[in-house]
Amino acid sequence: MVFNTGAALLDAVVLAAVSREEDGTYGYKITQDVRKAIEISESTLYPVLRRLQKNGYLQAYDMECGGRNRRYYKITDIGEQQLEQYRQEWNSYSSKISAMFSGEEIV
Amino acid sequence: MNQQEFMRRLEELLEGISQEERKEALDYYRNYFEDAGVENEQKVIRELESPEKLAESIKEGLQENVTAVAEAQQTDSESMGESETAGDYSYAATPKEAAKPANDNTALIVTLVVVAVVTSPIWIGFIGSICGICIGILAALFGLALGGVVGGFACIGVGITFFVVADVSSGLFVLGISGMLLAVGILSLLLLVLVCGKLIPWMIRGIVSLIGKLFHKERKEQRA
Repeated sequence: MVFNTGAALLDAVVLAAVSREEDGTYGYKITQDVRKAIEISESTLYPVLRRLQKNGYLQAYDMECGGRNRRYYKITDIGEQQLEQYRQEWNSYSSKISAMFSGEEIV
Repeated sequence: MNQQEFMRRLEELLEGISQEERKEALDYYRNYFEDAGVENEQKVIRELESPEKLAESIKEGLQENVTAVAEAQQTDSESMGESETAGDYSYAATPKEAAKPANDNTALIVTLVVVAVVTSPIWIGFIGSICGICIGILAALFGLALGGVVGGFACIGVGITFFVVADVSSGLFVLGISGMLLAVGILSLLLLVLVCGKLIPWMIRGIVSLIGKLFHKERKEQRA
C-alpha cells in the first residue's frame, strides 16, 4: 500500500478487530484479521497489543484450549470508549479526504 | 531453522529486558507458532525474518510504550482532535524514530546534570559565600540589637547610681551614653524585624517562583 499506517490508526484497527470477537480472540487470529484490512508484518502486532493492554484498552487472560494454554484478548470498557473516539475521528477525517479527492465541497 | 531453535535464540536475545516482559513476549510467540500450526511453521519463521529482528522490534515496542503514553497524555490535555497526528511515523518502516525524542531528552538531562556536577566547586562556593554574608549581617544586627538594648538599660542604672553616689556630670555623661546605646539597639532591632519579617519571605517567594518557572519551562519543552 502506498499510504502509511500511523500508530493511532493501527491502534484503532487492532481495537476494532478485537472488539468484533465477543468471546475474545488471540494473537494469531488478530494478525490474520488485521491483515484483511491493512498490510502489517507478523512482528508488528505484538508491541501494539502490549501497549493497548498496558493502556487498559485490552484485557488479556489465559484459557485452556485443546490441552494447552492460550492467551486471549478482550476489549475493556475504556477500550470501547477509545474505539468510539477513533471511529468518530476516522469518519470526519475520511469524509474530508474523500470529498477532497472527488472535488466536492468540504464542510 | 525450526521453531524450537527460533524460540531458543529469541529467548537469549531478550536477556536485556525485564523478566515479566520477556515471559510475556515469549508466551505470545510460542502461542503464535502453535496457532499457526506445524504446516505454517516455515512461513511464520520466514515472515518474522530472524530472531534478531524480532527481538529488536519487541525491545523497540517497550521504548515506544513510554513515548506513546506520553503522546497520548499530551494530546488528551490539549485537544482530542489532534490525536491522529500524535504518531505520524510509518509504523513498519521506521519504528526507530519513535524512540528518538525520549533519547534526546535523556541526553539533554544527563548533560545538564554533568555540567552541574562539574561546575559545582564554583557555584557551591558562590552560594555558600552569599549565604555566609547574609547570616553574618543577620548576626551583626542581632548582636547590635541585643548589646544596644541591654547595654542601654544597664547604663541607665549606672547613671542613676552615679547621680546618687558621685557627681551630676558623671551621671549625665553615663545617661547620655545609655541613650545612644538604646538608640543603636532599637534601630538594629527594627532593622532585624524588617529583614526577618519582610525581606526573607520575599526572597523565598522569589526563589520558589523562579524554580517553578524553570520546571514549567522544562515541561513545556518536553512536550514540544
